[in-house]
Amino acid sequence: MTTRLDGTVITPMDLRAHAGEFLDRVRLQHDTFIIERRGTPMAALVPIERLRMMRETAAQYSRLMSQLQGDFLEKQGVTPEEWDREATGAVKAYRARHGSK
Amino acid sequence: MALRLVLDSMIWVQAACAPSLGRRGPSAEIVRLACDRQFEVLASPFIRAEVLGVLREEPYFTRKLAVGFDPEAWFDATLAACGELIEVTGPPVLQAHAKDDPILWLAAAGGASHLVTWEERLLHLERYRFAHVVTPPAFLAAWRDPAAHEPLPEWKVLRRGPTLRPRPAPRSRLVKSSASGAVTAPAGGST
Repeated sequence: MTTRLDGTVITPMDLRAHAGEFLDRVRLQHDTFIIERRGTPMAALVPIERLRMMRETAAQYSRLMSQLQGDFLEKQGVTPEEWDREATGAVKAYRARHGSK
Repeated sequence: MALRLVLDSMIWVQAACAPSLGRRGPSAEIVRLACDRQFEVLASPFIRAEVLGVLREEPYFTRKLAVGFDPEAWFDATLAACGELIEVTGPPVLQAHAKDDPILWLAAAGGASHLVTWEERLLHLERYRFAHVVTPPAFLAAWRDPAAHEPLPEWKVLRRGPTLRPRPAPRSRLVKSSASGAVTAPAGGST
């Protein structure tokens, strides 16, 4: 078990052997655990409040950006219908030029 | 079980613009609902690259992007709020239109319940594996009336399908890792 800035690194074996202890530390001490398999980070144990907060922050940022873009288009006189039409056409054209095959 | 959606790239691009509620299009409404955790959204690096490519390179969009709107940060934040980024690959599906295949691979590998698109070639399929292929207004109508959509019987699922590949380490500024569930914030704050 090693401790880094972003959390304590544990293995799946550690988790299997001490799951209850890790969960208590996450819930009560707000610790973070990174679960690594063969040196590759696979998952994390984080307090549920932190996960919710991160999602909510991301959602707020997303909403703000979309609103900023929507307000800008409204000032430019671009209707949502025009934007939607251009988006459909542009993606089709882009995929035709850059598609994976 | 929560609905899992695959949004085609055009839906993402449409959703980048979310004006006031009365003028909001169905695509923006779907993404707003997803950010409210009404359903989960799956995306792949293919979709991400396409969305960012269109918003950054297509002349119409480069002229119409607001100052301060960063497509990459917006896409990653939205996905962090509402879904997962997974990398998939699979066998050819649409022989004549193979460039649409990555969308279908994602729908199959992610166990999506709906594939939302405006692409006629995909809409023509109606269903692919578990996923109903629908337009944004049709999805919203089905979501508001779940009885309108019966699930695809399990025996119809084909054996040979897309396979999941490990996703490379995220390089963007605000990314939710599908493996760890963690979000890393941009170093320099929001744009």
